[in-house]
Amino acid sequence: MSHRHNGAIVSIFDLVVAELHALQQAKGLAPGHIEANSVMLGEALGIDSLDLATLVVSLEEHTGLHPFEEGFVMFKTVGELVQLFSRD
Amino acid sequence: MACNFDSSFRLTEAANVLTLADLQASLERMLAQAPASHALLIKGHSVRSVLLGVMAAMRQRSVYLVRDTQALPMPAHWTPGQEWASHVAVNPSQTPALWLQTSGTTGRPKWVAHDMNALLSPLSPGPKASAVWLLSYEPASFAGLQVLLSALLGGHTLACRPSGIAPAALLAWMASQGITHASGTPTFWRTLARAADSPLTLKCITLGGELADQATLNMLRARFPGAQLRHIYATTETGVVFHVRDGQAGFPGDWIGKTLPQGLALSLSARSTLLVGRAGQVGPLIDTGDVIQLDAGRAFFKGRADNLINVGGHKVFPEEVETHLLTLPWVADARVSAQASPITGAILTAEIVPQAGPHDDASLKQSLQQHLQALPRHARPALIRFSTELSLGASHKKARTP
Repeated sequence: MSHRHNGAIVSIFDLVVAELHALQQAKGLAPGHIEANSVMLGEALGIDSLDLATLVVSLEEHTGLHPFEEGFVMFKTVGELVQLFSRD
Repeated sequence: MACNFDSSFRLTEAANVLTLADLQASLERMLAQAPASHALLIKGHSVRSVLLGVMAAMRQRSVYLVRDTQALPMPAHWTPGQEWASHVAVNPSQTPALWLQTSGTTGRPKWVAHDMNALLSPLSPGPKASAVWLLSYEPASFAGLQVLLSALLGGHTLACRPSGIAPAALLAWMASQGITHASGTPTFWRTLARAADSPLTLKCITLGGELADQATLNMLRARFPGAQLRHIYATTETGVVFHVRDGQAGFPGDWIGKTLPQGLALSLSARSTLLVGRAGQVGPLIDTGDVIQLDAGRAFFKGRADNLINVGGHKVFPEEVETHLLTLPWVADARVSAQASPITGAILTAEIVPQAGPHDDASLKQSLQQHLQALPRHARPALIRFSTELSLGASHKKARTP
């Protein structure tokens, strides 16, 4: 599944990576290597819950999907979040 | 109470001009039909009707200015067609009063009784000079009444704003009417000021009903250099609490704990909201719900306690963030809201109206991101949308979704 982001067609995974890199840069962190099984709130990414909330709002806006509307759905990794924002 | 309204008063509504004598003739007809023991129910949507209501209240009659018929069990003979709707028997021991409905923005509209003397006492007729007032508020709101009474007392002209007029057209219309005095919410003024340039020169600008931020005051000072600029703090329950005339946001901090000229006393609650009480009276204090922050001897309004947003345990007032956003010169207006978040409970979003002119969203967003670095992280909106106009409530306050 792909989406338009800043004019380019990108996958949800690429979108998540781009947003995470932007969040890392905003905190003065070097944008690191991100893969599907990277743990979202782990030490490796340097992302906290406020960053994650920002990421989710941004994904909701880009995709028009609201996977948490009915309540919280557990996710730990980048891949699991991508899955939630990918229409089956 | 003698009727001290000035006979040179005029009401202009579209092409019609009504003098005080015209209104007095209508008033006599109205009073002749309603027994003295009855209160008058007046439809609050027409300026003319509200003026008649005010004049009836000056004649020691109880008057209800009805804006929302849902808030009052209406008598069976409520007649929708008439200008003044009806009259109803009241308890003879009830002191004559002018009854106003609260706007209902923070709950169900309720009735508040006002004594005409108390309504008139903070107003002064001012120098005997010709003035043309713009009525931008609903006539039967507290703010609308202030404008009506000021024009009546001063013998000025009151011009009713054509309904549904766009800001650019309104500005041109104000110039064509020779408006000199205008009162509105800061949101109203920001909307007006970003409309096209016009030869309008105002003598007196009043802001009320919302927090008056420094950026908006500065913008008005620059746009209307010759105008007297003041912001009013009033509550429906107490009426006008104070005027601030120094062009600065907030008010002198030493007014808290002091008795003000209107006989009202200010204090702060444990949650830092402004309390208003009658001087020398033990309670009941009115908790205004407006949160105050004292800074270098000045008291600033931070926001309404019931607007407070909890972002992952950090509390933030949307108004605080809006005030910060408005300090960016290209931001004409801003509304900050809460959006539900599965992670932090809530997160902020912002709707921004850029000043007219060419711009590209990407560079504006970059400018915003930089500007927002001055705020703590939880107070930075996670999502920013641009729009050309903010939706306003009936009272010209920024509409806020709870």
